[in-house]
Amino acid sequence: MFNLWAAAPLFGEPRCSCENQRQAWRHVLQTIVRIKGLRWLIASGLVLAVAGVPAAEQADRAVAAVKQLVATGALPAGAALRLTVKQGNLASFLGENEQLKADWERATGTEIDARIMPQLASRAFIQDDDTVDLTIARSNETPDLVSEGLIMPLSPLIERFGFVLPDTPPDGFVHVRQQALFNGQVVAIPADGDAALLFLRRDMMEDPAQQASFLARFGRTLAPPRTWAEYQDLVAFFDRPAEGFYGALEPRDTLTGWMYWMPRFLAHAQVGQHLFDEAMRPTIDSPEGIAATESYLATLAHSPAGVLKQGNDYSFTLPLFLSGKGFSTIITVAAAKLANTRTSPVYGKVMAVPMPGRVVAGQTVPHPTLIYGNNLVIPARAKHKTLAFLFAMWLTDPDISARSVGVAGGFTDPYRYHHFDDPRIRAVYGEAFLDAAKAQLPYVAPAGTGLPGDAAYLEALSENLSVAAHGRQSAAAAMHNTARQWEAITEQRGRRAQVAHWQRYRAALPASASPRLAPVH
Amino acid sequence: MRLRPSHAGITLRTRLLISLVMVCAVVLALLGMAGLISTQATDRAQAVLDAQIQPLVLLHGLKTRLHRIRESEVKLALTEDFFAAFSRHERLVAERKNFGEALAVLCNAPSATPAHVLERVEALWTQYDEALAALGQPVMEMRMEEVARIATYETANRFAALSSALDRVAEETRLAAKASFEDAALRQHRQWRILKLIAALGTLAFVLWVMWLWRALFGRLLALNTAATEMATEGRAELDVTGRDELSAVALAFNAMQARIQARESALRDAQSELETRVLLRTSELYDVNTRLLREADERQRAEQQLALLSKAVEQSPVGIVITDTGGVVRYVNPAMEVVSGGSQGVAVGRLAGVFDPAMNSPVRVSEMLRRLEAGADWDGELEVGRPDGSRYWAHVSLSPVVEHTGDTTHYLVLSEDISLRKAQEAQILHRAHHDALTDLPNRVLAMDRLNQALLHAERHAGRAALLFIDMDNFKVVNDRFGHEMGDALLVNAGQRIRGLLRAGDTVARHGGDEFLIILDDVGGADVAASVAEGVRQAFAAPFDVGGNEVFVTLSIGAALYPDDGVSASVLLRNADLAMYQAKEAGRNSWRFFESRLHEATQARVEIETCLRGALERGEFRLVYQPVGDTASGRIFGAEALIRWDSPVLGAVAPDRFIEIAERTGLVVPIGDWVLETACRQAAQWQREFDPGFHIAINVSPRQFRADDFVSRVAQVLAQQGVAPHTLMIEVTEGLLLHDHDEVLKAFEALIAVGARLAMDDFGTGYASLRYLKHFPFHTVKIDREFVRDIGNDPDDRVLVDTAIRMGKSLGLSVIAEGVETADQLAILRGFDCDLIQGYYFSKPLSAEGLHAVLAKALVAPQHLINPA
Repeated sequence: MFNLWAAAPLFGEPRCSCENQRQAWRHVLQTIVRIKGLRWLIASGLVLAVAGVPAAEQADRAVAAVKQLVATGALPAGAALRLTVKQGNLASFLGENEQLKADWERATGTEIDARIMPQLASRAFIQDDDTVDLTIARSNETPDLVSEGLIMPLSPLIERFGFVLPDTPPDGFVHVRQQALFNGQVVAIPADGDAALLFLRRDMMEDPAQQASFLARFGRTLAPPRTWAEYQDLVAFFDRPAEGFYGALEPRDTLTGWMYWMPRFLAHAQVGQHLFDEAMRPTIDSPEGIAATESYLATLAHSPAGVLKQGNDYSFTLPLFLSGKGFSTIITVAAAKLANTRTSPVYGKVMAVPMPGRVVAGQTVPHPTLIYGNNLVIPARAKHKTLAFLFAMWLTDPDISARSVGVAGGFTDPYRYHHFDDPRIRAVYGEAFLDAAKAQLPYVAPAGTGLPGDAAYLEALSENLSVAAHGRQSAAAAMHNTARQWEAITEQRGRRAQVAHWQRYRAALPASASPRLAPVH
Repeated sequence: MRLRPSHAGITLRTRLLISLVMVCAVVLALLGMAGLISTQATDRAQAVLDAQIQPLVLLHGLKTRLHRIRESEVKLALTEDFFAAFSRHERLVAERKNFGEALAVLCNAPSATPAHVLERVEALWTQYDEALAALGQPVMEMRMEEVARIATYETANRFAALSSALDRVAEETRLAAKASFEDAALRQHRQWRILKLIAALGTLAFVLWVMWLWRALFGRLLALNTAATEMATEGRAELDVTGRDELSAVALAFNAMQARIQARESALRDAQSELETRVLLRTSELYDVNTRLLREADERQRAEQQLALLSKAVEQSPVGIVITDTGGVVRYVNPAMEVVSGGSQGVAVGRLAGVFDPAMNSPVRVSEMLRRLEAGADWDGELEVGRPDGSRYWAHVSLSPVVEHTGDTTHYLVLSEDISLRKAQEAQILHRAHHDALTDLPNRVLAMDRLNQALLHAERHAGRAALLFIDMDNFKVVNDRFGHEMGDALLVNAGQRIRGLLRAGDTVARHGGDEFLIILDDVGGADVAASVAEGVRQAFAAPFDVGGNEVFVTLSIGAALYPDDGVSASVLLRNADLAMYQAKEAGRNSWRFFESRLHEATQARVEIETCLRGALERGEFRLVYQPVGDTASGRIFGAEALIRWDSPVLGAVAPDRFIEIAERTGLVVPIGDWVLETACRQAAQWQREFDPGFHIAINVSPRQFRADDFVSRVAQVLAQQGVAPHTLMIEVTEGLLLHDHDEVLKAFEALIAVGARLAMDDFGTGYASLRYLKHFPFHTVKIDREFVRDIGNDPDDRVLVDTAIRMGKSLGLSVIAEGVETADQLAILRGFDCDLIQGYYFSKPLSAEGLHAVLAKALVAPQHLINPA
């Protein structure tokens, strides 16, 4: 058994000497031989591409490739790359005062035509708009996007231009497997490490009077929660609805509810238990799934009434938390940029801690998952696919990406290891917040089901969670109904094909849905 | 023959040199002056250019930034994602900073614009900037309605005022630059005149010098020639030599070398050589002049290049530019204008510009434009313009006359900027500000505006208008049962149904929650309003399909007429609201016209509410205690604490008049807390002095019961006063049990855990009482006095009371009959095995002192208030 999420570098070792390269290559081969489920990677050609090319000059090579394309006439001089991203990430992609955009345009002689896309999932948008060369999609969306032919696989371009996706420190990508791969192909380039993180009111946690009161009531020290049960105690303890102060400010709307259910499922699941079993029968209506749902519903008693309203996602809960009206919230580390501004009412009063999980042999195992995430994808109908790829390669270069993530007005989260240690980025986020996010990196699980039809599966789950949250069905009924609907979706899409997908995906998952529970060799 | 000296003592060479120096000096002076004039003219032209172009460039930049700021704040109001809103707001803050810095550059730059105009711009920017700064807080709290409100009502006017002020600066700059240009031209003209005068004087001096030289040189040479000719042809005597100049020497030489012709020829060659030297000198001078002229031509060429640069700027300007002649005929269209207008230069040139075409623009506006332009002023405004393909767009159009230095207007300059996006966004914001987001019906703000318009119209035409106030009777039930989303869908369908019943000119608005307003303009009389109200009521007889569920809702409608029921919108609204409440009180699913007595009742309620505030602090409340007796033994079991209010203004106010108001205003919470504490303190005293088992009952209102700390407060008071918890009976009515069953049940269980007992008061008055008795853990049930009153006469009431007592006992509850006033009633209740009684037959409510005396008396001489069974 091995730990997949913390495995040896499969995607290349940056800045290595020839000897180191040989060692890395040997190590890669050994690892692949040991990992039965990953042998398909050999076919993808990625490893070959990775082993031979250092990543230090990633940005320079991208620029040189664009110039060569222009010189050979393959790309018209002055071509415009149509980049479409969300408003909150625009500054990260274009840089402080659009400096990154200017640098790219000056270096390549091409232009960037940047536009804004809706703040929703990308599937419908990519379907409707054929004027996009490069855009972003959430991690869980890629199986649908690929299987419906909406985005192109990137492996051929990766091989052609010698791009590498290292997944180890010092400057590798933190979630390559969770964000970039589908069916043995690289289909997206990670550009935002959006993992769920728990934010608490530090001033209340450190208040001696609260600590004494908590100890008297619960018989244990007031401390960040290790499990969801402890979390529930905390939100109940600090809940003051009559004063307009709420224990839990987790979003519970229909579109994003599943994101806050998944970490609970992982925390309650048994070793080896995933959303489906080996034959792809849903396991979410098991006692563990129902317990996770009950945990999901339990916070509602300590949340504001509007939290169930359609569309009230983090845009409803996060402002309340940042206004000092709640004890806890769950969101990505991007929120730290807001809490870390001196004008914020909660400046200096907030702490971030790893997500609750479980305690195994005295050790705390957090269970975060990716939630939103902004991976770079190239629509199949893009006009300048190669240019789009080269821009993505340039933007995610170790140095360029550090500048991108460090932009104060952008909300792209650190997605390469060295981002967490970069002084510019640490100053913008606040050191303690980044350290908390870094601490849970080895445990971050992928978002969604990993299957074609993911949108339909998650929609059924979210809808049933919503009905339960409104008190119109029990947690058990919600899970039973979801399991039944999931079976119908599987039948509708073709059970055989879905099972094949699931087994491939499952092979790439660790033995447990909780990575650190598997013995590490 | 005699040669006369021209000037004794000065040689011809000296004279020629002096003359040459003088000529050169004059020529140099002329060239210097011409150069100076040329340089100054260039400098002045540059200064005029700077004074006009640079401020205009700065102003153009400022206007662009200003429009970007406005666009940003409008987009901000439409943003729904928090991170996006934060990001947009950060950008807006940066744009504000940039604008402020650019404005400072404009104000500090040398400019002909009057200082007070720039100060006005700075003041307007400060106002606008302050209004924009107010966006920060609502953005951080995602209160986008507030952002939209600020963008619509607070910043829009300030933006417009600042934009106009910048236009005024541009106009002032243009006028100042024109004046500077004219001044420069005048000064240049004067300098040219001086130069011409000096040139004329120099030319005159040169002519005089030539004449003098003619006389001084050529006269004497002629004499020499004559002499030589004579000497050659006929010979002659020696010349008479006088003087000491070169000609005298020639004469001497002539005389000396008379025989030698060569000497004479040599002398002539010398003279010729000297003349050639002069020619060369003049040629050199002409060369210098020519060089100067070439330099001037070069400077002129540079000025032309500058003009070409400006022309290119116009050509490549992102703003649409059209130049017409004074007849409005297009002479030039830049590419940006072609893009914006959808036309082409080839088609447009030679035609009348659309903006001046009365067929395409308002003739009145065209006249006003031309009048302003002919007066030398600018015109600035927003127009909706058509494209050749039939589509239309909004443009911000600026018209300026192009004025020559002579003051003549030669062309008109048309600047056009596409502002369709901003107009559309402003229209969207305006719509959102005036319409309800859920139903898309006019909201309360727009409804009040329409109502005011209807009242104005009615006032002018001596007519009538009506306002109907509609409230759904059972909307909350739908909401609780099917959820808020279904509730929202019902509101949308209800709004559509009402809208479909009315005339196009009538207004249906959502007042808030489940309330709608109908404004009927120009109604003949009350019968029309009544007809509409009845029609709307009947229209709701049909069910609604809400998410596949068939839902029936009824309406309560209140109507108020102008001018009968009020002459202002606020009064009509208030009165229609009151009438709606009357319809509700009349059993719902009905409509009522406003009656003035309703208003009087409301005023009375307001008066009570005013006096009620602070009554507790002023000590105006007191408690009386009505004993509760054991039916069988007649012993005093306990007492119910009853509140009394002695208002110094209103006198004694009955509880049924003020409790409801206290409940509505929330004052019932502190009042109820005072009752709890006072009653428990009193009960503790009686328990210590007379009977440890003495029970005290208090009434708790729903609002007091739902207070977060109610249970903990009960426990605290019991502990503080030392009252045994089981002797406290908390009486609640059915009103508490109608909603939030789970929450109430939890609170009941918490109270029971504290040790208190629970009683259902006024049993029998609500339709669901039996169900509640079974569902909630009551200890006691109190049968309402309404049923006890006629127990002796009305068999139905007797059966009902008997059934209630039996049922209560079967559930393990003790039963108290209220309102027992006669011995017959007591006898019947004893027959029904009722546990406890309360009423005037047993005892009227007593003051604390009164009950104290009764209890004391009973202690020393045991007695009963009624005879035991």
